[in-house]
Amino acid sequence: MTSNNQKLMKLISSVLNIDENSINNHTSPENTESWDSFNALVMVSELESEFEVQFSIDEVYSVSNVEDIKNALIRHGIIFN
Amino acid sequence: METPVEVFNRSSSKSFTDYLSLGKKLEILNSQNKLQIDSSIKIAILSSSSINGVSDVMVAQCSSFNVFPNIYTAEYGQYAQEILNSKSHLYSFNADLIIVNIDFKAIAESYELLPYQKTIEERRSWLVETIIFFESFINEITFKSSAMVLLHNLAVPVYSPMGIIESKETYGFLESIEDVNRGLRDKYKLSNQVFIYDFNGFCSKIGKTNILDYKMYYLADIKVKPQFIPDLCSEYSKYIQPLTYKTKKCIVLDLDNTLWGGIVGEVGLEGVHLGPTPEGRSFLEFQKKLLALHNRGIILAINSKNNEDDAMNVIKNHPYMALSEDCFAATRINWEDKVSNLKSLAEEINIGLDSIVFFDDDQINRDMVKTFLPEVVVVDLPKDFSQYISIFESLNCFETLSLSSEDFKRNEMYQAEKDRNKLLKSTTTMSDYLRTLNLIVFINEVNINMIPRIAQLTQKTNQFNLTTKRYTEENIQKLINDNNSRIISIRVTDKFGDNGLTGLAIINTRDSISWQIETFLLSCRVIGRKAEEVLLAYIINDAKANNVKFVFGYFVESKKNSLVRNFYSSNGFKKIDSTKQRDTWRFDTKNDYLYPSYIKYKVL
Repeated sequence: MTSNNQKLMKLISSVLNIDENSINNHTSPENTESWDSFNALVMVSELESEFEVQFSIDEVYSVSNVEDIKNALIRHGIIFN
Repeated sequence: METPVEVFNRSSSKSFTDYLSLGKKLEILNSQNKLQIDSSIKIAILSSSSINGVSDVMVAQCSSFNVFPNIYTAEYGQYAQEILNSKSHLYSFNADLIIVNIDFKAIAESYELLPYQKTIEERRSWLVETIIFFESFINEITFKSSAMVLLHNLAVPVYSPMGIIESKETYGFLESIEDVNRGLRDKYKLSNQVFIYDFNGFCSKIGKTNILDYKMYYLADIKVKPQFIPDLCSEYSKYIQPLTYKTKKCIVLDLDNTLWGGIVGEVGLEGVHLGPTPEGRSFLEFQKKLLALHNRGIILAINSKNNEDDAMNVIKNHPYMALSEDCFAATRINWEDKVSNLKSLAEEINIGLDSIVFFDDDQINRDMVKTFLPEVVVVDLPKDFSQYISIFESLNCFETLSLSSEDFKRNEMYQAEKDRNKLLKSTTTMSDYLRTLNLIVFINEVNINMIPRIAQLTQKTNQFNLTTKRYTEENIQKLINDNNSRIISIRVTDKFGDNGLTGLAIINTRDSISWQIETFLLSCRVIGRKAEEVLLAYIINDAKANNVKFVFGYFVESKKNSLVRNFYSSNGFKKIDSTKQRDTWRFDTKNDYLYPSYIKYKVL
């Protein structure tokens, strides 16, 4: 079975068009060129359908790197080992 | 170098992000000059809301039919400036297709939120003003550009503050929006340039409560949720395919488990599933859907591994067979491999393999066709045959921008050709066959109305063409005006139909003693029916009547005309000269040349 962490990495890599292995907790719009405002929204939409969750607008605004995405997902009951 | 479709075929799954990255990849390849582009189209998109991603996804989807589009997406919300300013990029871009997506919320936000603040009269005048609003923009565009215009209609909301009594309003809010759509549709019904895109229908198909994600809307003015952008682009593709001549013309069908359930060779006519039963209804409905396409000009053909007798028994005699034998332009029911069958079907029907869509329930057959004939569109039929119809309806490759009378007639023409071939098989000798065909050849001195067809015949005919001289329309025009030249054409009809203008001779009559046949040709369609002998008989008998002593004919060898190498010798001409360039043949008009007995002819 694919772990949630793997799912998340795969999703981010596909939306941002970057190598999975290059992604870590500190990956952010500041250090990733393809993480623009449009791709950020695409990511929200993809995360919502992949993990079957709904983010609030506040949550969307609170995300500034990959770690924040994980924390937001954890708040919605998604478990990361 | 790769073509767009090759890049497409290598990419796998087709989610929004897949399309996005495929589109980007194609654009990069193109910018590095690594893409071999055979077909392109310029598309401008004007939108009242944010449509990020549409451009990349369009590039990706167009690659599936080997088109690389050049897309200009105007800043969102800037549609009015773009349309009204004749110096805008919209016009200098010189688009082939302009998509105008102005949505209801963008033009009537307060009406949407507080509809019944408007009085009945105000709602009625909103309708009129809105239609004029769209019309004036469209007029501007069509005045300044010859591009095809695709105008979105308005998505009619599903909510009204009146709730269930909305329909009791004398002139309701929702009704007024529906009337805008009706008005726009009627206004442009007869236009060849402006097409109304049923965006409202699209939203219903996706689900109006799904397509708008309020979060996306508030965050970024996105009114089509990203995951549905591929669906929207696929709708645009329906217009792009005919504009780039990529529309498919022919559906080739397997039989067992495609047109009926079960294997007829094993279960027989009584055992196959076809008809109003749970197992049979999907096949019956699938056949009717195919029949409906056939009736508007899509060619059908069969490619099936079967004993022909078993299969034809079902086609001819099964009570629920919606497609009759006559519906198929050609059939290959045999044990040959499907790839060779497809090739020979394309040849018989005389269409390119890239005009064919192939339906087969068998994965191995499909893979073989995909591998060996990548230009054929292969439909991945699911194991569950109850899903055939939804797969069928999702195909967007049969679109046409208009139907001509040719489209309706096409099937008759193919059917007539099939009947001719069948008759050829059932009659014993050639002359018997020709007699039963009831051939009539109409002989005509060419006039100016026929110039395009005459020039086309000289340019396209290769096999039955004695000298392969090509003429332009201007050349033909000059010859018609020249007293020393004659152009004689023939039109051939038979009991199955009219084959049209299919043969001609160009004769130099300057010398009153001898005439020279400069060009003598016959279209492939009518080869083998001795219509050429009627044409030759007419020329020789006319020469005789004008006291011309000799008729000269020439044979200039080409790569393709070996068929007629001996044409003059077998028609009583004598070879009098032979050079590298040509053979010269002569007919002495002291001899008789008779019209073939079983062909009627009329001199017009």
